[in-house]
Amino acid sequence: MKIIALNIYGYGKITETEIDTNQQFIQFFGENEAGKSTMQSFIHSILFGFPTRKEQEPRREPRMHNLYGGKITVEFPDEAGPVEIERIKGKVQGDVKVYFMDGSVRGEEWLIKKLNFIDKKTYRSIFSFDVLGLQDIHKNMTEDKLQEYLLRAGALGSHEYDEMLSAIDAEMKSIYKKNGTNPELNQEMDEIAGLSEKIRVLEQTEERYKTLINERLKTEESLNAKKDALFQLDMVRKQKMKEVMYHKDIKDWKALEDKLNIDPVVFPEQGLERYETLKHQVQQTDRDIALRTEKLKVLENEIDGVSLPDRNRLAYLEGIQKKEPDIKQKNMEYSRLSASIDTLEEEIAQLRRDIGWQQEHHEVDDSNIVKESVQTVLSKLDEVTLEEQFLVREIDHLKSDLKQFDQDIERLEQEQISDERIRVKKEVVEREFELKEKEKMFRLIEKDYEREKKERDRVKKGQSTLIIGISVLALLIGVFYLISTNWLMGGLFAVIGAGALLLLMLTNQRGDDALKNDYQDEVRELKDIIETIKRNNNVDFDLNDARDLKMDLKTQRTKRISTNVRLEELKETLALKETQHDSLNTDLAAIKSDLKVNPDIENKNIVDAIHTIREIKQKRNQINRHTVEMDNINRELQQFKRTVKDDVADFGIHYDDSTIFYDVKNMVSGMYKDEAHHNRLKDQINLLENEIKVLAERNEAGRQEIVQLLDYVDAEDEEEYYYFARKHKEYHDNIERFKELSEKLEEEHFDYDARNELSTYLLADLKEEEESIAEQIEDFNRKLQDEQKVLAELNSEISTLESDGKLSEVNHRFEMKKTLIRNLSKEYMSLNYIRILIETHIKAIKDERLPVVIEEARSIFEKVTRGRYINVVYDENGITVRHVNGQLFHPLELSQSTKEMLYISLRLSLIKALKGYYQLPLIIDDAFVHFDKERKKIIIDYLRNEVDDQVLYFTCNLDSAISSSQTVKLKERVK
Amino acid sequence: MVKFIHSADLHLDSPFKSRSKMPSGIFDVLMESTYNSVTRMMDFAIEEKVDFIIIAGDVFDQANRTLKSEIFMKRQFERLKEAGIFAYVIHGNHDPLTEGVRTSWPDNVTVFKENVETYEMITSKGENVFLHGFSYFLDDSYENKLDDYPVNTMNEGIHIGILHGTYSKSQYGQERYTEFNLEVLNEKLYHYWALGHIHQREQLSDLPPIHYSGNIQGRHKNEYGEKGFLLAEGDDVYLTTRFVPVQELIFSEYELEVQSLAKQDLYQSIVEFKHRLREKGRHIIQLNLLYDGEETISDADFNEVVELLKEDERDLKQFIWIDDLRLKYLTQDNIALLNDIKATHSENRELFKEAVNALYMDPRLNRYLEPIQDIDQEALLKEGEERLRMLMRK
Repeated sequence: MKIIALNIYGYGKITETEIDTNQQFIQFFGENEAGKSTMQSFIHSILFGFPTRKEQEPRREPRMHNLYGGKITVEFPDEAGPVEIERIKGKVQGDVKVYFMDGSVRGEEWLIKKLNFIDKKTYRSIFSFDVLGLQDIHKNMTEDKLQEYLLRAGALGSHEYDEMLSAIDAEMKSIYKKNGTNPELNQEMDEIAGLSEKIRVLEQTEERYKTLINERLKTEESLNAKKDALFQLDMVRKQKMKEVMYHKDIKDWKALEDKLNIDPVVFPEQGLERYETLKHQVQQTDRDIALRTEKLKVLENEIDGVSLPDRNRLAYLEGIQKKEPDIKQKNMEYSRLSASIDTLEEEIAQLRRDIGWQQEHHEVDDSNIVKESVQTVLSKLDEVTLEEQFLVREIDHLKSDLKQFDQDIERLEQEQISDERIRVKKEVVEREFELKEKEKMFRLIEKDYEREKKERDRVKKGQSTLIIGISVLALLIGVFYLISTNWLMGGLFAVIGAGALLLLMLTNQRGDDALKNDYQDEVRELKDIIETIKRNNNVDFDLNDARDLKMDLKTQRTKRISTNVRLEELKETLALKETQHDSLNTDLAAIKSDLKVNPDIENKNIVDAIHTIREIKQKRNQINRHTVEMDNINRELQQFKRTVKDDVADFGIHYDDSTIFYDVKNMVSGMYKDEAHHNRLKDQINLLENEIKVLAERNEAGRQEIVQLLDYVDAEDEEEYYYFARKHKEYHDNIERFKELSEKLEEEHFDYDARNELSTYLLADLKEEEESIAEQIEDFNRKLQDEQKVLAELNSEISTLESDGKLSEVNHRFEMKKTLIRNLSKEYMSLNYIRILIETHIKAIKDERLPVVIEEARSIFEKVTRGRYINVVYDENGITVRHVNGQLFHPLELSQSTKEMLYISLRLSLIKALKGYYQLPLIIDDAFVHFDKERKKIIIDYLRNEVDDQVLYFTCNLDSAISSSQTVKLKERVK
Repeated sequence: MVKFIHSADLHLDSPFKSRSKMPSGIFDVLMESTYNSVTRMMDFAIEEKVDFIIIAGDVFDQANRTLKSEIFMKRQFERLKEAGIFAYVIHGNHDPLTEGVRTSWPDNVTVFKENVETYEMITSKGENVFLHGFSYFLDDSYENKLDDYPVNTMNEGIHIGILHGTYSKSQYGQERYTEFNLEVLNEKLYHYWALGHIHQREQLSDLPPIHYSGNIQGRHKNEYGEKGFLLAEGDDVYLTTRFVPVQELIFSEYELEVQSLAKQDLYQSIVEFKHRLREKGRHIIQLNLLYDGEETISDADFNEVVELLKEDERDLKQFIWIDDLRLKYLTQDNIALLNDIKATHSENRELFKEAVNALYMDPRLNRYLEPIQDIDQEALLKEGEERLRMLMRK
């Protein structure tokens, strides 16, 4: 690759600079601060990217310029034409564009590939020579290491491997050392070994689990067997205890069994009770019979003292008694009737007074015929009276009307207007109408005239204008001719003009207004006539009003005549009605006398009087009926008195109207009382006799039953009977007790044989047996407890094992530790692998690439030392050089410049060796300051002639041997 | 209508693979997690009144087969017995029959022996269910016993095959015990296949339903996400399944983009991330940080952040434990120098062996390491490179 031009847009202090570098060798000369380093940095940056923060290099962004970056034009041996690489500000390393001659554009990837993936650092350490790099070597590296460093850096272009290896070594040592204790892995190994041991122990413990389970099973079985035995023993003991408990009962039972071994004792059912009841009953009955006999005697005595009354007499008395209410009723009726008669009489007297009768007149006719005739007369009377009154009122009314009419007629006559005035008025009206018509006509004519006149004026105006125009023209022409002295023509035209004006004046005369004025006069004349008439006559009224007044007067006169006629008629009718009234009054007076009533009685009360007469007659009849009835009652009462008076005397009763019924009643009740008493006594006697008979019968039956009872047990007397009763009870009690015991023992599982057998034992024997069993049980219980303790221990051990998660936990820890160890190991191994790879690589390079490099270096070294040193040897002792005289020198033994020569030779040989990979320009930054003139010339010559790649030589000491075409002078630019 | 639970790979008390040292609180949760998951499953079974429960192998874990787990299982089976639920258990490669149970199961538990057996059960509603299966006798003897499963020719009852084995198409690397393909299973004409061994839940077929229920609790980041069992329900026409998660904590791997590598910023963004995750339950995660920028963070600072994050979770109940925190720089390329080396020498097995042997030659150490053949050369190289990059950042 060859750089043929630089174009710096802005980089550090260099801005907008273009430099042609199309030379194989090119010298950049500049004083200090002229921008040599900037230029180098620029080339690096464009090719490999702007410096990043990581690199220890300034970014050199221009302070005074806003463009950062630039463009270099390069030639690649395998590309057709020059290629422009441009890098400007963008991302951190800048944005790259590669422009080709054919116009195509590529990106950074292409560039990186083209440069064979070399990075800036590698490029620098292989292709850049600077005095600083050399000085660093002197300063930082001890003399001992120089040789190694030179070799490796030279051989590989970098000393990064060294750093890597030492870092890897340190890391690996911190992870693992074969026999160490402190490194991480070693520590973990120790720990995991501890865990392994723990696991082994725990696993053994868990192995015990099966043994324990077996043991537990065995113990449980034995325990169960013992429990069974114990249960059995306990049962036996319980049985014994029961036997002891029931021993007394068993003995009793046995005794009873013996006792009951006889014939059963017989005795009647409820024998004793029955006997005693019967005995008591017999005694009681005897006593009852005696008592009743005594009472019978007393009753018989009493009945003899009571007499029975006669039935006939009693019936008779009762008959009288029955009549009592009837008699009483009649007496009351009698008194009521007499009182009623008194009242009626009173009322009749009152009524008589009302109608003015001194005495009663039963012959008076009070029939309905009379009554209706009175009513008819009365109504007629009323009617006539009403008519009279109406007529009188009507006559008065008509009279007042007449008076009114007279007045009206008088007033109207005064108001009448004369006929002369009316005629004049009519004439005035007619003339006024004519005037109106005429005025209307006049207005129409005037309007027509005005319109016509306007039209005429317009025509006239047009004519006059024309004529004026013609005349003026004629006059002017005339004047013209006169001026031009054409008198004839002038005169002619002047005449025409004047004629025309004259014509105009003639036509402009006023029009004719005659018709209009005629009408005006006529109208005025009419107005005058009207005015004259009005002034001479009073015509200030309305014609219609005058006509109405005349009509009114005529109407009123007619009305007055008709009213007079009507008044006469009414007066006649009134006289007729008065006559009728008088005849009716006479009729009424006749009726009153017929009725024998007071003639002063008012006409309207006559009907009431007829009603009163009827009432008097009715009451009189009622009094008569009452009197008859009273007579009947009185007769019946006398009858009763007569019949009874004699009969009651027989019973020793004195008759008296007021007391008779009381006495009879007393006597009847006394007789009933006697009869009842007698009957009651008789019933009692009968009852007592019956009772005595029944009691005697029962007594006999009781005695017979007692004998039967005694016979049942074959007893002689009562004593013996009681003996048998006692015997019987005893026997039954025993049976009861025996049954009870049998049942009880049966319930407790003592069967007949067991009972018999047990009854033969003594209680003390049984108790002894029970105690021995109890001891055995005690013994078993102790053993049982021991075994249970063992079982509990086993169980606790088992459950400890079961619940103990230690093994699990340790296993977890173990596995985790194992993973950790594996990870650490992997890390270690991976680092180790890398280490081995690097070392192998270095070795391979040493073995394969280095001899070539050394040989090349030797050739260069020989050349640049002009044959003073003829060989560069690399062996296990490091690098040595052979002088032409055959002596071998260690680099330390060489002079400073020779050492640098050697270094440069090695680097150049390396570049040659790497030619297959990289073909890039060399950049030399004043690396030859330590060389004398000759050496410098040699090395420059070498670089100019022997090196295939382009060389960019930066220096502050201008080498004048180099042609100016190969020199670029950089000027300091201070801004 | 029959209703049952299909579970597998309980791996009771199985040790966890974690990279970091945990505080005891989290360690305890981890230790109890498989137990708690199983307890939840049993609670569910009792509550749902299932007819029976199938455990298709690997009830226990070889690495931690202790009395504790057996006693625990016994108690759980006793709980099922009280509820009238039967259990059908086969043993898998991690708990073969030879490592017998020290205690005894209650009589509602049926354990299949090493030859294929068939058990018939009648559910409370009167359906006949036939269960076919076998247990592993030794952990590494896997002669294929699929041919011994009887073909269902009766056309009555519900037939369920229980199998601990590897699906021929699965990606599972090691321990490919009893490999099978679907044709073989279909030929048996069963109504359901309850599979175990693969820890990732998977439905292999819909008709008949063939399921891996997956394990019941994840144990490392490759067993990620929700874990639990399947609840199957239906009749001889079709059995529907429903997944029921019961895990105690979730393992997972997450990526998180960070904007800044300043210690405080980095810490803060991870804390926020954890906060978001915390709502979804307890997690143990590997967190890969992705950074696209210029900054770098030193190994020491990074470790400080890691320690801070761990310290935060120490006493939390609902913890988000970052087991492994990795930082990936998106911009920064590989170490250029290594590329050359890798290209030249990574094919050289001798170098790899030499690197590995350094530790495998230590007798105190090699017993804890995984088999030497399991170490992946490429992975090792990658890890070394990563590690080196971190070291060089100091």
